Amino acid sequence: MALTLARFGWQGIEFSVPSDWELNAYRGVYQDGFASLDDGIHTRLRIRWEPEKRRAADVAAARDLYARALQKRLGRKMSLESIGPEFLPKRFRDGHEATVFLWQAREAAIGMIWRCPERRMLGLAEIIFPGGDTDRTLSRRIFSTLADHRADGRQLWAAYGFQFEIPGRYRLQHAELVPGRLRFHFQTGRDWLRVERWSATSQWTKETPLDSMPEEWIKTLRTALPVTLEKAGRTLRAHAAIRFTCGTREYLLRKSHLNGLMWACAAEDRLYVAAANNTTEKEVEAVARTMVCA
Amino acid sequence: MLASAPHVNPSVRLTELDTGGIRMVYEKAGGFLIRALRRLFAIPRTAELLLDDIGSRVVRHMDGKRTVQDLIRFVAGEYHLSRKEAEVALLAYLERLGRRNLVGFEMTADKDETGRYDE
Repeated sequence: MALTLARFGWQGIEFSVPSDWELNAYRGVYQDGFASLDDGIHTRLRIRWEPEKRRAADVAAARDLYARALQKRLGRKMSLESIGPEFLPKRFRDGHEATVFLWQAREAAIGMIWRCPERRMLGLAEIIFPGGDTDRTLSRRIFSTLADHRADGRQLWAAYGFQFEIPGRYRLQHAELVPGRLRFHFQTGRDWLRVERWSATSQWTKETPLDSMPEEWIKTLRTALPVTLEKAGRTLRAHAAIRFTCGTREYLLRKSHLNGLMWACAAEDRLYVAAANNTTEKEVEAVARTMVCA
Repeated sequence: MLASAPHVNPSVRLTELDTGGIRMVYEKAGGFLIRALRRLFAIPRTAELLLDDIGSRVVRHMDGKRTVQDLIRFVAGEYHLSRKEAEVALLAYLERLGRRNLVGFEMTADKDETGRYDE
């Protein structure tokens, strides 16, 4: 059976991974952080990134540092070997300074440390093979899909089958997966952008009709002033969308203006929201247009 | 956890409602002192919990054989959720039922499927 890959995007780092691998942990910020994905049972991919020259000057030094850390964690039974640069496709090698290695202990992993000159960061990605048998073809396929920055300055966020792009100036403040909702809260200075996906919408709309959902959503902000809804004439990905605007009170005297779009996808039984303060309606719509649904 | 099979506490009374939901009537937990205080202030010994459509369907699927993993697959398939979304929702739900002693978890003998998470 052919392996289906899905895009994973977090803090500007992107990989295509098997579609059943999902994010199970994350921490950190754009400059320095960690994310891991599991297949339902075992962790399969770990990604770390940090500013270059903080602990290691280049990829070779970072690899030595990581090898020592592995040795300490896994003991003498751990073996580590380098994999030649030809492991990575040429088009990838041309754009990145990278080193690939394999370690074997109770489990095995194929790892890659690379440097992104644009972001001035070092990244480490390793694909874990819990049974101990490594799959070089899969690892090569995944590593070759790495992207660590975009020429257009935008950021792709993709997790749990939810994918969207935001302007590069926003930074993740908070992301949470709670029953029925997946929420992303981004911030730049005092301005924010929220992107949400609600699942099993038919259950939510039993209590609140879809037309009233923007008002209900805005209530969760606790800072909103009266809302203006524009219920007709908007279409997003072939779904009728509701545009909402309102003022918000923030930081005591400061007032801001909120622009938002909400729509439901009946085929997926999901509701999507994109809203931001102090930005144009056009920018919110540009984010909303990248939010993938059926 | 994921390999365990949840089942409803046999002492809980389940009633199917016309709305499609389930009413669970159960005896409140509490030690001697709590029970005495309840009697003193005439607080009912039992409580009831009304399950919504999704919750009721999950409870109907708890037959003591289906594992938490099976229930996650069921919820994900039925409500178009990703595996992790279904897992988060179901584990939160089971935790709430478990806290009231409404469900118990039986570990299956198959040690290969431990549902272990590395991190």
